[in-house]
Amino acid sequence: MSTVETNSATAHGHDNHDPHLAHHFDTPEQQFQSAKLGMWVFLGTEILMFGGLFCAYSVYRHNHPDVFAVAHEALDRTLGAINTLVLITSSLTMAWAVRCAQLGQQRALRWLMAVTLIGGYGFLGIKAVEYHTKWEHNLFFGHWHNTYYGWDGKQPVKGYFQEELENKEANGEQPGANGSEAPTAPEKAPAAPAAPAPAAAPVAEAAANPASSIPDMTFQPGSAIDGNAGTNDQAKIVATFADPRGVAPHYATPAGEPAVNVNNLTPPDAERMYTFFAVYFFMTGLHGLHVVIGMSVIYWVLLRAGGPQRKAYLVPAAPISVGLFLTYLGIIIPGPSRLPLLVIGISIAVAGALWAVLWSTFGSRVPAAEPEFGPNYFTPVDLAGLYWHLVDMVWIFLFPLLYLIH
Amino acid sequence: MTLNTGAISTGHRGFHESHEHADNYLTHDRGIMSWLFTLDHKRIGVMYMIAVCTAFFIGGMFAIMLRTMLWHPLDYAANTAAATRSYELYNHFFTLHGAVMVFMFMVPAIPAILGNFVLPMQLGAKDVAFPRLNLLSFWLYCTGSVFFLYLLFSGITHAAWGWHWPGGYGLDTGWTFYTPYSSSKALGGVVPATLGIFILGFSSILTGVNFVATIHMLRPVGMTWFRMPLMLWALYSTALIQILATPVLGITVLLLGAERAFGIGIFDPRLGGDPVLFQHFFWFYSHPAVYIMILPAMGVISDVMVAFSRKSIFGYSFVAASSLAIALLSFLVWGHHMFVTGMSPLTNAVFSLITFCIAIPSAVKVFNWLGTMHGGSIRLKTPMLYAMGFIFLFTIGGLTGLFLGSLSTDIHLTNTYFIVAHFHYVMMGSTLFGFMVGMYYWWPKMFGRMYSEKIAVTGFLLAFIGFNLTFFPQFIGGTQGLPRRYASYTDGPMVHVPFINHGVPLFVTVHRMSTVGAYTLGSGLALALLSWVLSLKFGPKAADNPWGANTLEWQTTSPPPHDNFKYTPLAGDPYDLEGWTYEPDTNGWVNPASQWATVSAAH
Amino acid sequence: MAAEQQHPTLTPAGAEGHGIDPNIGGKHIHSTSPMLLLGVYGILVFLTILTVAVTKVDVGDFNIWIALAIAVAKASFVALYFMHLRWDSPFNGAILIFAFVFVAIFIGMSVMDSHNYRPFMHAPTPGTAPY
Repeated sequence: MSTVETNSATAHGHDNHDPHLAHHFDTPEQQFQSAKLGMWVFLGTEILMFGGLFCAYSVYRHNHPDVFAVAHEALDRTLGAINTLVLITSSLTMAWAVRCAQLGQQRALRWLMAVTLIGGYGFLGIKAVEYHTKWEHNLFFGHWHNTYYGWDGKQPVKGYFQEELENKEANGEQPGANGSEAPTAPEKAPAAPAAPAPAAAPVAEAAANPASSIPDMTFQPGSAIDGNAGTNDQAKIVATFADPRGVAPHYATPAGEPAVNVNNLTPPDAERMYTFFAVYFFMTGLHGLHVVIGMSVIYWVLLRAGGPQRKAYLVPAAPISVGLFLTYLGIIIPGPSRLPLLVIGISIAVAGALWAVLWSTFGSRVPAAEPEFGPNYFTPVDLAGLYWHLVDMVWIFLFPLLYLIH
Repeated sequence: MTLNTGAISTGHRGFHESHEHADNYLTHDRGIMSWLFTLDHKRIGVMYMIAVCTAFFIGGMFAIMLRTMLWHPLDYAANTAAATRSYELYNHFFTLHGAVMVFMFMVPAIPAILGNFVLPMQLGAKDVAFPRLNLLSFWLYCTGSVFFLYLLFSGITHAAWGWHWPGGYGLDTGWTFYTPYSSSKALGGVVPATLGIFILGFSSILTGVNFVATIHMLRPVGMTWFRMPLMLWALYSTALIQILATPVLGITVLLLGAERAFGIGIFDPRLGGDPVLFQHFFWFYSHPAVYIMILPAMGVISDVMVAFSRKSIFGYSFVAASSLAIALLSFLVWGHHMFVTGMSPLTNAVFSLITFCIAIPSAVKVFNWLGTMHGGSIRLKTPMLYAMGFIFLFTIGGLTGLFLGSLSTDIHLTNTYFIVAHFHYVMMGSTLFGFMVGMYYWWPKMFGRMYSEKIAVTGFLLAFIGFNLTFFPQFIGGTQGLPRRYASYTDGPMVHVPFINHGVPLFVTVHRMSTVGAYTLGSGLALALLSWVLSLKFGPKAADNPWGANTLEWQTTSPPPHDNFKYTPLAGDPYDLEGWTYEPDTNGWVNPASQWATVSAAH
Repeated sequence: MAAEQQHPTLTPAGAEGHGIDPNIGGKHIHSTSPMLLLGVYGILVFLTILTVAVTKVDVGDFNIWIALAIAVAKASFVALYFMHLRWDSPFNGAILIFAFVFVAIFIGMSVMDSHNYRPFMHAPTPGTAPY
């Protein structure tokens, strides 16, 4: 074994002076390839996470194809297609931005990343409009708008918190007293040792008492079991599913087969329509969250690319985005809280823009600094781009599966 | 030189500076902030050790409590409030025992503690590829654990004084969270638990990302894939599973939490959902998860077998390939947890067949370890004792898994104590024992101290005997139909025992033997902890290479310096033990021809 | 705006940056040409339009497979060209493919299983046997 020169014990005992080289890497190229590998592995984990949701989608669509075919009519496929094109365009600008970073084209780099961000905002804005439409038509998920009854046939099923809260209120008790066990305790005594009893009870009750309160499960808009019966929303729901866009269905039903619309669904399937929206909101919501995360990462890289002399208009982008998000919230939520949110959101965004203009015009000059990204170091731009492309890829799969069924 | 209290305040009780003249990673920086914000993988490993062993203690406490409760069967017929509270409490105990043990101990234990410490050193590297990500993993572990601590705290205060907490108290769904109980009627805090598990999952994912990148990119010159120590093959395979399986757990718990809080209707049949889908989701992670637990333990055993048999590993490429094979096959067998849920015969058969296949690489490893021991010069030190215990217990656990993988027998054995015994043999008997092997093996390297062999061996004997006493009778009880997760039990069949005229009731006997065994096992593990703690204060200074192994971590000081190596190590055959001779005065091994000998002589 | 001062080695020689060699520590890194980027973009737009157009044609069960095939094609273009896999280490591409393979296994087995109890769900009288 030959003797080896010992390195100095200091952390920066390397012969190259690259400030970006971490002490545990031997060469900058090793560090760059490691960073890319790490990012790809992380993208793999994101694919698996979304894969779980695609599995839920697949199972439900496979088992209830009619439900999905009917329910997805409520989605606007034009907006969906526009969103797809927006994301693809933003992917293009991001990939181009990586190229500009590699070539040291600083201005093009900044502009392309800004355009990518604008694309992201556009995507979220269109999403906000779509979510608003759903809200307007009461196409939500789960216990809020579900007409299916619990297995005792008596009351609509609610989520855990809802149930707890209502039971506490019903008992007239303060939270913190013994309220939470009240709804469960009476059911526990028969349930614990004699397990088959509750399941048999409704059937036995129905058999013993044909005119019992267990309703027949036919779904008729406006019927007694429709939780939205008699409300303004109920008319909207019926209208929505009768013909969401007032035009004929986009596909031709094969001759001799019943048309796939809500009236031809079996009663259990009609009740399952909201499962589609559970899947829809979870998938697009998680995707939207990733869009926001991707935009934040790109924004951070943009700040670094701008350097200190561009803080004047890059930093105010933060309040602008806060304002825009509040505006989006205002777009989504119908009702009286809409206007204040829109007003506040737009005000904050305008204030941020004004701040940017004033700061850049009248603020003190910051001397130009050496740009951070160039042909020798562009790793953060590359990694941000990879994440953004993943977001695009997920949407590429989401769009046909959710919007273009059949 | 002043004795800085910083080191003592971070838990290295009595680590007197006067014994250590050289600067090492423990003394490199002072103060609690230098630990909490460290980028040093060794310090992160030590912090994980403290946190994860605390979690083990908590999970163990729950086990002791539930085994104590099971000394007498609870009386379900007594419909009193006290009885109701007792069997509610029992549900919370077994759930929290399982959840804390699985998510806070078993998944992180060997990768996060031993892997973090040893992986870069075996590569001759200065750190992992992404040190900041490593620190983030640790913080995420602590954050996720806070949610579980909330559950414990809320459960205890609710049980004792009836306090109420948002989101629920304790956890009573079983660690498997099966819907629709967990999504609707469960008493426990399912939403905090799901949030905690989500965060813990990300801790695991980021560790996996780090390990994959490190092994790919930071190998030294000359260390090709097939010249890596087998511990690294095991950690790499583990990291692959962590990366591919844990995100599905993340989405599963998110969906469960949303179902519970907002009633989205994905798993609850009353809302149009599919409860079996939850099981598919849950087991798609949780089965590979058990291989996250066992694979690193197997890696530890491979390294230790070589060192304590003084012989190179038998069949290196087979052991390496079997690690990868186990990792890949582990994704294809999740349905064997669901044989009785109503899956179709075809699906059942496919999962059963692949389950049988996955026994093969595990068996290959066992035979290779035995082949390594055969003809070797075996030294029965504590790590080797635990390693041999591992082989014995893993063999039993693995073979009983075949009964469970076979459809016809699983129908009868599922949800009985046979399952409980099986998974404790593979998870506790194998993973925990593997963890003990690793701790005893690398302890001298980590802290520069040797532990008392007497206390350690006594602890091992108590643990081994206690473990078998706890879990072996459960196999027998399970075959006779003793159900799991029940706070109550009948006498069971009367078993004839020599010298006793009447028979003994089987179920009572099984439960009581298990309880006695549990206390024995607990005392054995307590002795192990004692041996480590005492070593820090009273243990003799450890040599650089107390075991005579040839992997790179032994070719630097014990404890190592801040940047691991004061030279650039060259890779050799990790299992070539030629040249190492024992030096009695330092209780260590030296190899004058090694690179390290040349370098350390120069200082 | 203040005039930009740029490090001499980072200033592009010409407007398009010809003569600049992106390299990390001396190792040349490939940069995608704008024509290629625009070309791939055009293909992606075309495929998006195709995705929507194909839904006008009804081929029954095959619709979803056609939609998925087009989506896979789009994703491949994004991965190979925008994400640079064409010129990267093959292991990065292997990670992507493995991730998709495992998702496919997960979905495949779960759908196969739930397919088998579908007849029970669509039974004439709910809760009874389907045959």
